[in-house]
Amino acid sequence: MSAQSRLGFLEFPHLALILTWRAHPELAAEAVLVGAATAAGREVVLAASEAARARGAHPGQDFREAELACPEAVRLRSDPVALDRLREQLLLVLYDYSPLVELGDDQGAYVDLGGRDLRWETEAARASQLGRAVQRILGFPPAVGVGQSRFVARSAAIRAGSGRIRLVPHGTAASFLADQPVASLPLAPRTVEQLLGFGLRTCGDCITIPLPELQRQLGPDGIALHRLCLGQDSARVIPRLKTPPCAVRKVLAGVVENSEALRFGAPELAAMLAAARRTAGVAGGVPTALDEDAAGGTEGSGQPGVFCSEIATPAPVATAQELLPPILSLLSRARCRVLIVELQALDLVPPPAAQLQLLELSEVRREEIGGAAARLRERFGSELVWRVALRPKHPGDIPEERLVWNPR
Amino acid sequence: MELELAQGPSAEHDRRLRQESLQEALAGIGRRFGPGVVRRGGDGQRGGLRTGADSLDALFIPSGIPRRRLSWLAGAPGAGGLSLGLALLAGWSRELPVALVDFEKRVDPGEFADYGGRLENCWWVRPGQSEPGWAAARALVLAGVDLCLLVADRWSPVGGAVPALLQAALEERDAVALLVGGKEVPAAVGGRLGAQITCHRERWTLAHGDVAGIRVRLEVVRSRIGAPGASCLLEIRFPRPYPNQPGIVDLGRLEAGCDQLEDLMVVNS
Repeated sequence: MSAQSRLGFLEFPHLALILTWRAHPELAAEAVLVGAATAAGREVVLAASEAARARGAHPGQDFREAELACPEAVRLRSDPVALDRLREQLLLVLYDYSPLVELGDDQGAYVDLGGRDLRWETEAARASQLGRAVQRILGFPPAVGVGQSRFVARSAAIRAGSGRIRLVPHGTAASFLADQPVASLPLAPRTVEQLLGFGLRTCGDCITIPLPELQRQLGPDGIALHRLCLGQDSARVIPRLKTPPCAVRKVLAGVVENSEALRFGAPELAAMLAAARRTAGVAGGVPTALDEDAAGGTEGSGQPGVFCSEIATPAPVATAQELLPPILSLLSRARCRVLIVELQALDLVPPPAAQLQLLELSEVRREEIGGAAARLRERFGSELVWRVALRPKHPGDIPEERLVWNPR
Repeated sequence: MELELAQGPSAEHDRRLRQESLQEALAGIGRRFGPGVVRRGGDGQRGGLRTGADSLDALFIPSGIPRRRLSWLAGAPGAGGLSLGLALLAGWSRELPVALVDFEKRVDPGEFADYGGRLENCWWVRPGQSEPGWAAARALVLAGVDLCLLVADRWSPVGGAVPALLQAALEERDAVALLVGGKEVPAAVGGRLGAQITCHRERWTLAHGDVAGIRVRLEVVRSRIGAPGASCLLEIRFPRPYPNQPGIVDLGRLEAGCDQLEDLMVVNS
């Protein structure tokens, strides 16, 4: 958890239940069990309505056991295709609000709300728009919680309840969690029992105990407990891994034997890959080059006639300018005669769309402003508008020595 | 803080009725006092330019330095106006293209950089006379600069058309112009000001016997879009001699002038 992390959690009914209610609105208040087959062929409860859960059925339970626990429940099979489609729709909406989204168990989603989004002035406005956007897709108002960590955000959403938003400002997590029962903490049941045995019933009770004491009594769980009670647990959002493929292929005019010559084509490849990424709406971290040699005779590849290499960039790259250095490195590794170059981008993540647009806009504006400055210089003289830069390794604080004034 | 996300059908009906009566009342006010006297806060138009200091933002409605208007950060030399202006400009330059019109050629770009400003996002105008400076401000705003800071201790007289043209450019590009310094502005400019805030130095902040910052009280003297009289307290940490997180520290609002309006379509519960 960083000092500035802000995380939103949206809680909603299980997506399989939502699909069921869409198809059978009359079941909205009924006990419903939605089953799905596991990889091993066993049928388990994927989702159970509140009425079914009240009678002892719960997700993950063997379907037959659930039927015995709640014989009056309506039993249905989930539709994996429709479920996938709804998941995709929901993710598309969430990605509009944040590039980092985690749709975990189909009953809630974590959304990274850190940083600024110029479309919304306040966090409350952003969260309420997010909640309403999800409501439009699902047809149910979610509970929205915003806090500095996963546990805080989730607790806030649970406390807010359906159709409401709870914001926990930075620095107030400990006081917010003070009344939180220890039974709700994501800890092992044995640890919770121990805490209750010690007479510690809420997070507020736990933070009065010094950390070394908690550690002595509970071991590693003591540290986890301490962090949870202070709202210092993880704020990491694990984004969706499934992403559309993104690749470009270039057939050269003739076989190229020199990797230096190959590098001349890098800017074009970078532009092509950037365009493909823009179309697919992704930004990636690992460009991979696949240089195919029609004549064969390659090194370092398991497949005749194909040289394959991969490079990991320290951060996701999106623009042609950012893609150029890794592509140059990749092409310089080619140890064969090359006829076809194929570039793939792996580990793709959705780009922070608003930020990318902002950067593109900024570049255009920068040029426009530069043009206006040039016109002003023509009209009023060259010493009117200046660009100032710091001299590299500037000596001291004397402005004349430290700054470079450029009248262009 | 808890907010309502959805309301039931009866609440919706009630809300529609209230909306209709509100529309009628607004239409009546518009007929009587002219169009545009009542404006929507929040989503209706972009809010002000946020400064990062909540209590300073809250002096305006909607919060932040007002867009499409000229604002004046007035104050005698040494009152902290220029330091505040530079720190604000540095903050904005990290994301936005900005310009600084330095009429008296006394602002040090190095200090701007020390506040964390991005020099590559800033166009520095150093006019020999008054009119080229105003013309440059207008041209740069029209070209896409989001914020233009105009700095002077004594403002030279300008013709009425000059600030009018700048005002028109601000309205066209949804930009902000902030005048910094001086106790008086030319009459032609004064008539176009959206807000006037006066800086008063409360005290210098000392560290190891050196001046490391300044504590400034800001008071809204005049505002077309908020209640005058509100004030807040800020501390500006200088980047020199001790580069210890230079910038603005918000010390809170001193008086409640007016509440911030949020058009969230959600209500506090």
